[in-house]
Amino acid sequence: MSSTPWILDASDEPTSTGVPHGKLGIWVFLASEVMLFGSLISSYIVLRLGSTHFIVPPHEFLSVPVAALNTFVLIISSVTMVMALASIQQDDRKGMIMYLIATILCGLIFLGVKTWEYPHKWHEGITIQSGLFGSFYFTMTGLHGLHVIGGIAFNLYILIQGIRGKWSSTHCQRVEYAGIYWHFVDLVWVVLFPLLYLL
Amino acid sequence: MSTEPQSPPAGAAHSHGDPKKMVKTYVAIFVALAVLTFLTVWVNSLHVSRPVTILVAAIIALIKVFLIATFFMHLKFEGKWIFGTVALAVVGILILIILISPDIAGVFGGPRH
Amino acid sequence: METTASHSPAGVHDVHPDLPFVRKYVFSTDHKVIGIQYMITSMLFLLSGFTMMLLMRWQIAYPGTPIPFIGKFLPETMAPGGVMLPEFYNQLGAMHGTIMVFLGVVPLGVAAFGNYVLPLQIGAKDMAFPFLNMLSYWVFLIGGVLMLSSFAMPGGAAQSGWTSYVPLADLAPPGQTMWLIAMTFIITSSLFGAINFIVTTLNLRAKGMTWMRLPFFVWCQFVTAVLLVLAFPVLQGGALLQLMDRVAHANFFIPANLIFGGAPVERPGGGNPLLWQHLFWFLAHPEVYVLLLPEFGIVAEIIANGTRKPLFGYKELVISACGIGVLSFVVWAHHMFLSGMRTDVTKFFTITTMIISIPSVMVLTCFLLSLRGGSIHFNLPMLFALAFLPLFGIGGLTGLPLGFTPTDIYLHDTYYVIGHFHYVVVTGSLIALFGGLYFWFPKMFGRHMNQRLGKIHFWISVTAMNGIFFPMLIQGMSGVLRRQFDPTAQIHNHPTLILNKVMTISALILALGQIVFIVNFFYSLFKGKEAQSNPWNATTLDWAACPSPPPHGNFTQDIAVHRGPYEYSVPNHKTDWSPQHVPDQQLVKS
Repeated sequence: MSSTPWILDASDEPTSTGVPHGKLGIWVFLASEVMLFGSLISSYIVLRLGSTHFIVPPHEFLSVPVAALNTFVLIISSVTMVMALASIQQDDRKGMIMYLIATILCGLIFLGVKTWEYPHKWHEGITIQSGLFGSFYFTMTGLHGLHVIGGIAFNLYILIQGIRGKWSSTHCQRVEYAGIYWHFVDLVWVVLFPLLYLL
Repeated sequence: MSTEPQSPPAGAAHSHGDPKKMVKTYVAIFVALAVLTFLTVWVNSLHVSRPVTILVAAIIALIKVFLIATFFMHLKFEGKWIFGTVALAVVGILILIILISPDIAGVFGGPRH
Repeated sequence: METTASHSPAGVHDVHPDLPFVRKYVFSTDHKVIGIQYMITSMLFLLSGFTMMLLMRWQIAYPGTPIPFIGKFLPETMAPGGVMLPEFYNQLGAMHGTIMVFLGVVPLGVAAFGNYVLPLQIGAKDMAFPFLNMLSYWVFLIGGVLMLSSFAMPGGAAQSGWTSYVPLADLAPPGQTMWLIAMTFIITSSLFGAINFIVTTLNLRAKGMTWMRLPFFVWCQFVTAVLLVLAFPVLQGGALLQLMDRVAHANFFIPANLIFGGAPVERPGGGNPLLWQHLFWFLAHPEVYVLLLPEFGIVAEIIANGTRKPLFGYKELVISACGIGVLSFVVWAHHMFLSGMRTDVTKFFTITTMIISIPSVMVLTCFLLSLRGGSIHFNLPMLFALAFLPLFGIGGLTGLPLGFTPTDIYLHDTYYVIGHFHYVVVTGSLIALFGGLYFWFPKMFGRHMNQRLGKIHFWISVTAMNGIFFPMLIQGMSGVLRRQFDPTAQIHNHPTLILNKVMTISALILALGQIVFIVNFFYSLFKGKEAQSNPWNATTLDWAACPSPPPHGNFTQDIAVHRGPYEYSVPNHKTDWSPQHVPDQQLVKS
C-alpha cells in the first residue's frame, strides 16, 4: 500500500463491522448526498404542486430527445464503470483502462450536451430568472453537473493510478468506491430526467 | 462476563460474487435500463391522462433506481451496516417531503398558500 | 498489507515521530492535535460571540448612550459617536446566533471533545480517516474566518437573524451572501467530521468493545454524527436555493407580487418563503440536539466518575439518546407555529414535541438517580455536572409551553424564547462543556487546572448566567418582544425595563468570570499541578489505558475490553474503579 495520505485512505486492518472504512465512508457520504438532492427534489415537488405561479414550458421547448440521449449516455457510462471493476477483479488491467476511458468519455459527452442545452434553453426564454421552473431546472441540473465533474475527476484519478499499475484483483477497493459514486451520479439523473423533462 | 464475538474481517474485494458471472448480469441490467428509458419517453409522448403519465414515470424511475443501486452499486451484496445507512437517508428524505407537503403543496386537503 | 499487525505496540505504529513542527502541530492528522485545535478555535469564537452579546446588551439596557471604551473604536457605519446603529444591532444579533451555535458550542462539543476523547474511549489509535479529519478542521476555520470577515462587507454582516428568514434575507445586503458561503464551508466541515465519527465508532472499536460496553459519551457522539450527516445537507440544499435567489435572481423563496421597502420586486416570483423555514428548521431542530447530546455524554462520564458508582440506567440512557435522535427529525415545525403554517400540521408537531420531551426527561432522571447512594466527590468537573442538572431542567421545562401551539403563539416572539433557549444552551451545554474541559484537561495537557480559580469561575458563571437568563423569562411573559433594537419604544415594556440593567450587569460579571477561566487555562497549561495518567481513578479507556497526554498512536499496549464502562465500587475488587481493559483476575482481592 502506498503511504500517501488520501481522503479515503483505507487501511487493511480488520474492522469491527467487517466493512472496510472506505466503503462505509463513501456510503455515509452518499447518505448525505441523498439528503442534499432529496431536499432539492422535495422542494421542486411541493412547489410544483403548490405554487400557483409554477409555469412549466411546453415539451417542445425542453428538448426531450436530447435529454433522453443524455440519460442513455449516463447509463452506458455506468455499465462501462461496472465493467471496469469486473475487469480489474479478473486482473485484466487493459480492459479496466479501456472501460475507464469509455466512462470518462461518456461523462464528457454528457457535459458537452449540457453546454449545448443551456444556451438553447436561454434562447427559448427559459432562464434561472424567468420563473420557478427555470430556477429549479438550472439549479438542479447545475448541481448535478458539478457532481458529474467531481465524478470525472475521481475516475481520472483511478485511471491514472491504473495506468501506473496500482490496482490489482486483490487491491481494487478504490475502483469500486469511484464506481459507487459514479453510479450515484447516474442514479440522480435517472430521477431528475422524468421530473424536469417528462412531467 | 460474556464476550460478544466480533464480526470476522471481510475478504474485501471478492464478496461480490464471481465477476465473470456478474458481467452477464451487468449487460442484462443495461438492456433493462435502456428499454425502460425508451419506454418512459414513449409513454410520455402518447398524451395519456396526467395521473397515468405521472404514475408510469414514477414507477419506471423507481425501477431504474432500484436496478442501479442493487446491481451496479452492489447493494445486493452488502450487509446490514451499508443497508442501514441507505435506509436512514431514504427514511429521512421521506419524512421531509411528507411533512412539508401538506403545508406547501396543499395536499391532504386544506387550502393552498 | 504491512499494517496487518494491528495490535502491535504503539512504537511500531509510531513510524514518524520526527515530523516537522508544521506537520505535528499545525497540519496534523493526529486526532488529539485536531481536537485541541478545534477546542482553542471554538473557544475563541465563543469569546467573539460573547463580545457581540455584550455590545447588544449595552444597547438594550442603555439605548442611545455611547458604548463605553469600545464605542470610539467602532467605525461610522456601525456606531457613529459610539452610539450603536439599528443595522449594526441586527448584524450583531444574527452573527451572535450563528457564531455561538455553528462556530462555538457545536465545534466545542462535537469536534473538540469528540475528536479528542472518542477514539481514546473506544480504544482506537486514530480516526478512520485522519486526513479527512485534518481537512475538516481547516475547512471549518476558513468558514469561521469568512463568517467573521463578513462584517467588512458593504452593508455589514448578515442581518436577517441566524435563521436567515426569507424573503428578507433574499433581498438583504451582500453580507448575507457571505453568510451562505461561510455556512457552506461549515456544513462541509461538519460533514467530513461526521463521516469520520460514524466510521470510527462502527469500525475501530477495540477487541471486546461491544455496543453495550461503549461509554455513553461515545453513544452520544455517534447519534450526533448521524444527525449531522442527515440534517445538515438539507440546510445546504436550502442555502443553495437562497444563494441562487440572491446572486442569480431565482424565484425559490420570492412570492409573487412582493413589495419590499415600499417598491415592488421585479421578479416573476411564485416561490414560498415557508419552504425556507421548513428546510432551515429541518436542520436546526436536530441541531439543537447536536448542541445537547455530546454534553449529555460529558455529564454522564463526570457523574459516574464523581459518584463512584455505575451510571443508573445505562441501557435506558442509550435508548433515550437514540430516541432523541430519531424523534428530532419530526419536531422541527414547532419553531414555526407563528409562521402561518396550516393548523392541522401544527397539531402533528405539537404531539411529536411532547413525545420528544420523554426521552430528554429520561436522560435527566437517570442522571439524578445516579447520584442516589453515591459517594459524591465535589471536584471541579462534578460541580459543573451537578449544576447542569437543575439548570438544564429549567431550560427543558420552560420549553414545554413553547411546544403547545396556544401558549407558543403568545410567547414565541418574546424574550421568553431567548430565556428558554439560553437556559438550554448556556447553563446546559456550556456548563457541561466547561465541566468536560476541567475533566479532560489533565488528559490533554498532563496538568490539572487550578482548583481555587476553577471554583471562583464556577460560582461567578452560574450566578451570572442565572442573572442574565431568568429575567428574560419574566420579561417574555410580560410581553417584551425579542430582536428589538430599542425596548423603550413600546409602552408595555416599561414596567420590566429595569430588568435589562440587571441582565447587562450580570453579563459584565459573567465576562469577568471568564477572565478568571482564561487566566486559569494558561496558568495551568504551564504551571498547573502535574497529573497522573488516571487522576480521576476512572474506568474508561481514555483514562485507564493510556498516559496523559497520550502519545502518537494513543496506547502503549494491546487493548482488550472485558467489562462495561462504569464499573465503579465493584464488591471484591481491590480498587473502587475497575478499568474496562483489565482482566478480572487482576482486580479481584486475593
